[in-house]
Amino acid sequence: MSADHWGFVVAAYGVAILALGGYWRRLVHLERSLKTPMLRATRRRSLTR
Amino acid sequence: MMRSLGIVAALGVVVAGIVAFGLAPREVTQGNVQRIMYVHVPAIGVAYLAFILVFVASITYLWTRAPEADHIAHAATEVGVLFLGVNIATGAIWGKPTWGTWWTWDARLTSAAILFVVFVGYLLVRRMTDDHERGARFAAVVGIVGALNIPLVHFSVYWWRALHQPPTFLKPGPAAASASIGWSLLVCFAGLALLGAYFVTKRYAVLRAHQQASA
Amino acid sequence: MRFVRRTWAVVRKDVLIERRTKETVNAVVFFSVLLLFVFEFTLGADRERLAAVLPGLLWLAVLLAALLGLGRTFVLERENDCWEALLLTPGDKGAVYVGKLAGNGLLMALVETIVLLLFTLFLNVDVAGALPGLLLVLALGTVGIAAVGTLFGAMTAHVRARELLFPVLLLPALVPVLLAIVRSTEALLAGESLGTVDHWLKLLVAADVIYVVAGLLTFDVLLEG
Repeated sequence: MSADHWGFVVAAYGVAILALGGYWRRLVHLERSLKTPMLRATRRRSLTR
Repeated sequence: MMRSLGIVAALGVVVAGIVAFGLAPREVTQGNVQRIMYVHVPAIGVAYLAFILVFVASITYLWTRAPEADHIAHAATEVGVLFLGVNIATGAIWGKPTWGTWWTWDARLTSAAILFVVFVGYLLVRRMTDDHERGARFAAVVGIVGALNIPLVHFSVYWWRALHQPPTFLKPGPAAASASIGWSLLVCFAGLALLGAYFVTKRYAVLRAHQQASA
Repeated sequence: MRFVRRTWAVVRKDVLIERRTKETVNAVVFFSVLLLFVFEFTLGADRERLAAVLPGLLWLAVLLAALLGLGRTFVLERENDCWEALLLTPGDKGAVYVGKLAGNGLLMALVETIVLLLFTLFLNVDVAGALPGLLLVLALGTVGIAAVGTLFGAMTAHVRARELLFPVLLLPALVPVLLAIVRSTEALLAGESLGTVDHWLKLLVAADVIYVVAGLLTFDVLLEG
């Protein structure tokens, strides 16, 4: 019976969740900044590049 | 509409998680570490779909110069690079306990890494070209050449490795094609693909809204 | 035939400029000699290891020298409004692309000859037996490298961080071609027949066709103001 290495499994899924979740949060932030005039300054650089 | 896609995507991811950890069997040779495959393999599948979209959208953009096509290409590249990154990272993490090393220059990891750099190049070109429209044109060319290169990369890297694979080399794949593993993989792919589609849609919407706001 | 005439005009112009200024050739030759020293210093003590990695080193030298030359292929157009003149060329810019490609190909052929000579003389590579096959591999590989290099060279000529962006775009795109030519060179120098590297040659041909066609179709787009 081979070892299960659950630590690595957690690490792998953790990385995936962090990456995908992080991107989702970025999208939400970008969307919000479109609607808020104040955030327009930060928006300009990130949206089109 | 985007909201419902988002909800469906979230559901898809949850179902995928349940299948990956609850319903998929414990693999015989590797044990439970093999479950990493349920995020590793679907990730590259989604990335490929994304890059195919980049290819089509880039050609469309150069043909029609419709900004929508450019937005799709841009959004799809970001999502493709994201999922490819997940594929590479999870592949390395899977490799450590099964191969004993974080990185081996095996065919799949190497191909993925090359593709990653190619499409990061797409994003770099956009970022580093002063004129936005020009950057979009240049990026489209990079996207087209990059996508055309995918089969070439695959063959060349596979052939390169095939002659030098040590006979005891173990690949982190399931020991035998088991039906339940196949189904689990499909479900997880569907879940991740829905998430990818949601991301592309949302990113496209943001790009479009910004373009219209500054028009 | 206008296409051929235009292509020839571009090639002739670039060759003439190079003959007069010798800028690129000098830089490339000097760089190749430097590389030769580096290889000898780092690997020379272990003759066997050097022989084993020789094909890779050969192509590394060619590639690095090519990066130098290819990166500058459109930069020289920026002086004296030559770029605008190029943009005003009537009709299909494909002739400019092929002309530049041919010019770059010639430059690379020169670099390859020099590198091969230097390696044969100083690092004791026996090229004689493998020569015909080697020349075929060289030719096919050169077309591929020049095709992508010309395309990305035109693209990055006007971009801010050209020295960074050009290699970042070019090298990953060239991986299939690089793998093919290094593996083929390796086999040929080891005395294998051309038939054993058949699949690599086919890949090179496929890559060349894909890159040149893609280049012809998209070059106009890159040259737009």
